[in-house]
Amino acid sequence: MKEWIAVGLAGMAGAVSRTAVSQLIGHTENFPYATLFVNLAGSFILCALIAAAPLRQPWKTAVHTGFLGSFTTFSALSAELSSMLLSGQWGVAFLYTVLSVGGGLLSGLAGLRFGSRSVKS
Amino acid sequence: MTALGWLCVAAGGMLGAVIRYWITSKLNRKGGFPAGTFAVNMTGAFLAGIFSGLAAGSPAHAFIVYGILGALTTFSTWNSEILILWRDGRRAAAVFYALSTLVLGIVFYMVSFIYVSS
Repeated sequence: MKEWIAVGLAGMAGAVSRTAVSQLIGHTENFPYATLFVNLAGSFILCALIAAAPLRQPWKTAVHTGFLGSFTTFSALSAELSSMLLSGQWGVAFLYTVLSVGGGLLSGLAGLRFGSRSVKS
Repeated sequence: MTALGWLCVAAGGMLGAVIRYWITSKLNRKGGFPAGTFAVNMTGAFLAGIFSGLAAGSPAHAFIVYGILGALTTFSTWNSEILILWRDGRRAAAVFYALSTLVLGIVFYMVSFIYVSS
């Protein structure tokens, strides 16, 4: 199978899964929990897969670039942060930035450790 | 979300992921600055501002915002690239990449958002 077709199909699944999460969680209390959830979960899984490397091509590119790339999103994060800033919600914007970026790096680190441990054992 | 809405998300997601794959495989260099990921995230943030007026739940919103732009941009790849730059000892590049993406993403969104809503 051509790699780009695998990426396209996996990307479709990633976008549908992300939208399903946002429909399930909804926009409760004006905080973007759905975006935060997909971004942190996707970061953990991607880093675990990078460290453990259980997949071969074209599955690796399909899952890493297609599914997880598409499941997580940067455009929604930019939009949500911008509207918080434009409406003067500085505290919420700061909290959302720390949770997304700091949380993303921590869950990525946890994923790298989890992945390399599961290779050793 | 209607059945048509889900179809729009699926079609847009496929398109966004393939465009991102195409751009990142041309521009990202192994061990170098991830220019491809940076480019798709900045483009996606800018376009998100342009299409911010679309009614949430409409098929156009599902196709463009949830589908194409959600899939064109990526958080997980950005995050893993920051960690890998840092792990490889390229700490200044890691911090620069993290901050420039975050700050310019907000700037690009705001510029297009303010332009279309004025």
